[in-house]
Amino acid sequence: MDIEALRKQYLAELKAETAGAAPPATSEKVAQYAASDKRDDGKLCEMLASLSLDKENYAASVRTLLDILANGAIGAIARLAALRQLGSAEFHAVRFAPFHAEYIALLRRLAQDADKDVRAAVLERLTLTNDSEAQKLLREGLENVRKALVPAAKAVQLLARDDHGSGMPIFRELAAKAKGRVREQALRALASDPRSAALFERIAADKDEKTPIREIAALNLKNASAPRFAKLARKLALDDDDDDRLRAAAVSAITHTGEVAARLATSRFGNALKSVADSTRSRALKSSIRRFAKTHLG
Amino acid sequence: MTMPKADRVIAEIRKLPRTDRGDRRLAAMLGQGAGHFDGLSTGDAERVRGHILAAFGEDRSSECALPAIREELRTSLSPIVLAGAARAARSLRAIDEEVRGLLLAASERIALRDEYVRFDGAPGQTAREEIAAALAARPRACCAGGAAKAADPVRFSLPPAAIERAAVEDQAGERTALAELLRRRTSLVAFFYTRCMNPAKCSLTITRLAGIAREYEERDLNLLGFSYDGAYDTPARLLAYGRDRGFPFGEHARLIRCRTGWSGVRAAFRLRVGYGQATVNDHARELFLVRPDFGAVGLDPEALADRAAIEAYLQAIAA
Repeated sequence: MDIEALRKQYLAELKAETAGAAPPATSEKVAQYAASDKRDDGKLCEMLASLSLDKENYAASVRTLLDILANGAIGAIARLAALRQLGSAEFHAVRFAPFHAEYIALLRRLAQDADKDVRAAVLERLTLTNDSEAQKLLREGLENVRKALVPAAKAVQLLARDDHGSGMPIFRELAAKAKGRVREQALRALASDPRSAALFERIAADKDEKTPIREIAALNLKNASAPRFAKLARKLALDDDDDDRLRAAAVSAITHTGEVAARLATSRFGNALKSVADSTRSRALKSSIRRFAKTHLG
Repeated sequence: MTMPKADRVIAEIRKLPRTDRGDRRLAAMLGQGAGHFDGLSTGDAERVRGHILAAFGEDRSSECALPAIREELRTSLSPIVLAGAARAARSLRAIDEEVRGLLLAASERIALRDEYVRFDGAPGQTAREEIAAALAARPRACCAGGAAKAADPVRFSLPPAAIERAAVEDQAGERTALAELLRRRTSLVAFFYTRCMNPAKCSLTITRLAGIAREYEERDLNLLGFSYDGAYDTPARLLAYGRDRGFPFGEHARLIRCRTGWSGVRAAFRLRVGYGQATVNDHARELFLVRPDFGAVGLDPEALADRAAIEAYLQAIAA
């Protein structure tokens, strides 16, 4: 189809759709409906989604959204819809500025809301901007100082967003002792922690550990200590009894990490890898070795 | 249940007597390297700092904390620290033009991220409201005495034993003894770390140092960016950080990290840096000129933006 015809068709479709859509809800109507006894949360969600955030309506709309989010008598589904719309409103940073302090104070209060979905969504938003109070609540939940506000694996994931790693001591403990998803998230959260290099090394080398966990530990070690990773990766790559997926990941990591490749790109290691490529049936491992040879051995 | 450390420190602040001695002790508590900041998260370190500053607003004299007040107003992004600095500014004898300008700039800086802050349990004002209150406050003295005079640079000698014990590595992975590096020629040393999230601190410092390094390529001067966070700031990270800021790496211009002897270096330079559980939780901007004989001068970090000041310092240290 001609590109100009396609453009015209798209614009026509857009115009038809806009003409058919219900007019945006006004903040007064939404506020009235939210306050009525016959309120249906599903309908309220639809109204919230169509609430205008245009310049003329912006302040009134944000005021309404904040009131609905704060109102514990309204169903969580509608309050979460209000939170999503506030997320959109936040993009107008200058217009949102007069509401920012109130918004953050409200979110901090709602981090301990009775509804678990509201708590999770609010903590999700607060941790995006490194909110120290949200981080404190999450830390205290993981340390059993207070009742956990979200599941432990989620708490670790959110706390891991802290640029200054305030959760590191807890992550170290969970990565060593916890089980399942919590342990996996804790290991991921430690991604570049230099103090955990020995732990990464131990887990990555332990054949009794599950392969995905070993893989995370090995890649963490690459970030935490390239020399230690080089030693480990060499051993993994050349060990015919180890998991092929892990071996392929190790060879790829060597290929793409200059500091590690510089230590290992010798003809001796290249020849040893060639033998591995000749004997393995793993296509992923063969392919990783080919890439290594092409990149570093010419 | 034991009280969290940050809350304990805040309780101690409230007990300090409202005397000259109490005020000086309070000002000393602002040093980022002080023990009461050890192990705190960045958020808690900021909360403690905000409370220390705010305590100056409670019938105390803030004059002894003026350098810290200015520095926070100039660089901080934390609403609670800025609100504390604003309260402290209110009890200065006079809010001079410089402090007034810094208050306005601080308010502008957090205009899109203002928050409510609480210093005494009661629902408080926002940080910008605290700043506005400081700007509206009448100076207690009739005149500020014109532009603030820059503090005289602090001269001291780096203890040779601590410097001799330290081994450093640069962005290219080249390892050397710190003492050897410093003995080669006079060094302009700025401290930083790559995980610093405040663009007005480390990122700006290294960008400015890079500018000087480009201009002073022919001069016999070491330009060193020295990491506070040696365990994390590997050569690859130092290289990427410098490249992103136009740092002209070479024999005279390097970003370095300590491999051994960091605690001695930290003490030798009297660094104002505190550590949380994983990395730096707060730090000042710190700049030094170091002679080959380890004689050192602590400089105003703003000198990095002022070639005349750098030249004057270089002449002074040569003399």
